Amino acid sequence: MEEEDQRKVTDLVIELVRRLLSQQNPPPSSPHFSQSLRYAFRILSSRLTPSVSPDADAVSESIKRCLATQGNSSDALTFSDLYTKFASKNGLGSVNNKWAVLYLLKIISADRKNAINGMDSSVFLPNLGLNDDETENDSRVLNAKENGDKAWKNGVLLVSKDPRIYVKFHLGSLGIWLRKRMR
Amino acid sequence: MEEAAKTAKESLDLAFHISNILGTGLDRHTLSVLIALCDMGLNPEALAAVVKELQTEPCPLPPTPTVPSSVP
Repeated sequence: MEEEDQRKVTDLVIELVRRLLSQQNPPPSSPHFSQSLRYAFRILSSRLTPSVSPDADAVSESIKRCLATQGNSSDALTFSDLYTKFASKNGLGSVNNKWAVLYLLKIISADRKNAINGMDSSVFLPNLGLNDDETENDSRVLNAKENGDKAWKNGVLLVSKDPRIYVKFHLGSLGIWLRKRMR
Repeated sequence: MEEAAKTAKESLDLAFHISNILGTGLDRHTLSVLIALCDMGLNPEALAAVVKELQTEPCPLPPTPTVPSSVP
């Protein structure tokens, strides 16, 4: 990368870190800003090559699929319309690496959803044994059924965002936390 | 030049709208910085990692020997 481009990148990264940290309350101290900046440069210099191919259409399809499977079909349609317009912008002033922008937004969106889901399961259900190694024993389900209808009342179904696709059942009245691998 | 500015504004508007649909929590200015970095060839995965680490956590970084602790 040429020196002028390198300078531009540095300035942009400084601005990015400044803006991200400015959203925090209370505002971070100057040493914290310096640390964050060093950390940002470390991350950016350690991951130079993306793991997907630079295909805006493919990323767009992936996003549409995600929105549709989440039940947000109207959002999927709106996104599709927006992408069509976004992709049609070419020439001076347009975004050159459109695939990178879409992919970036997709990852940030997924990260936020994962963070929110993680917070829900750990904050609102603090007494549950999420690491219980016995949770793959299906006989618990059978035993719960044999104990009557009470076992299945007040149950909470959480679908984990974990890529290993665990479906977690909370049998509220029995305090049983069952986790079954779905693949 | 005016056409280029108009295209840039419209592209940013579209990207911002997409960003809101996806619930990224990014404001317009931050998004414009990220778009500029993507266009300069930076890895979007790395950029997303930076956003993830710095967007909400007040003090996510490991301590360094030269920085005194501020916690009483």
